[in-house]
Amino acid sequence: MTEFTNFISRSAVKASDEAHRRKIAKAIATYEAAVISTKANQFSDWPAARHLAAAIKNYTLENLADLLEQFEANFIARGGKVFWAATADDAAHYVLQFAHQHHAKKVVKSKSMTTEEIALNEKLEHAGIEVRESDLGELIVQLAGEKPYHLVTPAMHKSKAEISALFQEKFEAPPAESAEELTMIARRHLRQDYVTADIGITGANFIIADAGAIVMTENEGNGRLTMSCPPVHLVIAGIEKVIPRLTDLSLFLPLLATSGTGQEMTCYNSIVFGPARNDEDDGPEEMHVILLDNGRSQLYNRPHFRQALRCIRCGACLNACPVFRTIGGHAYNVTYQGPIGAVISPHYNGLPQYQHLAFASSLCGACSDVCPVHIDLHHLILENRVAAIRQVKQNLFWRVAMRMYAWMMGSRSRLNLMRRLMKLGQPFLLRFATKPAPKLAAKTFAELWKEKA
Amino acid sequence: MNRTREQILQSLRKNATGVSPKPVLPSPQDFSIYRNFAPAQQNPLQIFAQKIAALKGEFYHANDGAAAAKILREILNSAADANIKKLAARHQHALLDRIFAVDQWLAENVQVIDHQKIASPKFADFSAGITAVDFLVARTGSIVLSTATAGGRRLSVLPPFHIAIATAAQLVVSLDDALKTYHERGEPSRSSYATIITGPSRTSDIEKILVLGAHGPKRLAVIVVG
Repeated sequence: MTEFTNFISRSAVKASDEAHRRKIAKAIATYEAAVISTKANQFSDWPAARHLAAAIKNYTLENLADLLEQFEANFIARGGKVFWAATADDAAHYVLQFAHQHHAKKVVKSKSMTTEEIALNEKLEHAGIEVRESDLGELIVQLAGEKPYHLVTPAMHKSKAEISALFQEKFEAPPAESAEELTMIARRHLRQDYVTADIGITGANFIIADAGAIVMTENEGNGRLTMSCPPVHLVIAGIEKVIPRLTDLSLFLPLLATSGTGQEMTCYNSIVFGPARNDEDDGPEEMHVILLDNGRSQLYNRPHFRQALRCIRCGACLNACPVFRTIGGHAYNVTYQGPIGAVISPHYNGLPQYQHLAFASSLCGACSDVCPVHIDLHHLILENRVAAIRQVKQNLFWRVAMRMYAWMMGSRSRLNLMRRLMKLGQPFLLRFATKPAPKLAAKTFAELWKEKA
Repeated sequence: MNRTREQILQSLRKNATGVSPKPVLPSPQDFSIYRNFAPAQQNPLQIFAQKIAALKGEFYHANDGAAAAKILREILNSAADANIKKLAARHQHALLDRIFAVDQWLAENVQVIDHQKIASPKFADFSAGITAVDFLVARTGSIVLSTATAGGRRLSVLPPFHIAIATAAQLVVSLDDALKTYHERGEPSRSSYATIITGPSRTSDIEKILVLGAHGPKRLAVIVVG
């Protein structure tokens, strides 16, 4: 269980890092205030909106194969290309092959967790292709040589001073004190990247079956530039991103914005139907959509877990999670942090490496309460925990202790007997306690009850 | 058509028939989930104006083309930037042509772009991009535009100031109305690209502090004619 012990030690460090906890607490408090007012302003019936979204996604999942085919046919009819990738490597290989064929030297990317999932940046850079992240948060973590901290807010853990130091070092920028100045440094620096890149790569928040389109939601405009300036637009999207109708966006866009950032709508929601048409003035000549499975059909095959494919990656469960708030995003050491990551990662990447995630939860259910598509996250985490415990050979002490516990709890008289023994042994046992433990009461409830009666 | 495609689809089909009864596809109008406002008491245009102001965008209302031209001249003057060579660019469009025809100064100072000749870096020469739109959405304060109505993908995103000009008839109440109409247009009048714009470009990626003009336009103005 080395990953598990690593996880525990990483968490212990982060949990006692007060500066880190202050930054996260401030960011999440700002987020929560925005979410509360936006929910109240925008929705008269938030629970109904959640049920409606879950129902549309349930329909989608039941008809997933048909809807994917419908998207494909519509998209191809407009000159787009579709590639189906079974694994992360297949998807990355397709992009690399394409880049080589077109002698691409530079790629500009807008924020995409799916490309993180397939480790695309590392693979492109290894092949000698320059990769520029254009979302401000992603750019900051890219320059810092880190992974995204949070699936919606990648640089949540960085202070202005840290970012200023980073820009001074990497961009030779002058020192900057305000978020405004720092943002403008990034803006100026990235302008040339959009116009010199050979390929623009984005993810997709939604795939629209009836319109044969992909939808990308963002605030900065970097996504719009990524899919407008370079001659090629590549999209990497999980097969579960489908929604049936273009008009479903009138529910899903406000839902995602509300849960993701506390906005009524994000600033830009772009709907891309294909490459530029002959009669259009600009836009990419080629557009490819890579549909990624990478374990999603495994999740689909497990009736309980299928609901996790409803996820729209809003990040609300991370912000609500007391464990995330304490240890932060990096301690998980996975692409998808927090409760949703704990549910899906073992299925995408294989349980043995990711079983620690099943323990990164207090099972309090705060995640399930905030999920806009009603995923029963904490129960699914519990199921993963059961599987994790069954798979791993526990040590002798643990096995003996659990056997004894089962034997003790099996009958009232055995429990009473053990309680008496425990009481005798407690002063001795408490010497080994790592934290204060309450003393056993003098009498049990049953004994007290009898006396009073 | 690779083998993976067949494998994925086959696996999804084989395992799909788990639920009974089969889930039905609800209509987004099945529930009244949005906070209602009464269009009878409040003019949708007023709601749009309030929404866009709350988003830190600018709203102008002009009764006719001449009034729109006057407003446009004023805001272009306010946007003039000594570091930027040319005042503004627009594309060819019936509504824009009508407004520009009545104002000599605008016609002389705003360049009509022909995309085939303009490389992306050239857009940095303009302090503003002027486009038409497909729809205005009252409930969210959004504007919807597509390649055909907005002079391509770049004119509305590369310059630091986006000025959108619409007619009052293009205003719809909800996003649902806009998407439905757009979808029903069908081929071939549908563009390859449409975008729903809700306020000027923004980011809160640094310490959750709101900054306008992250990568897209820092300023967004909407002029409604009629």
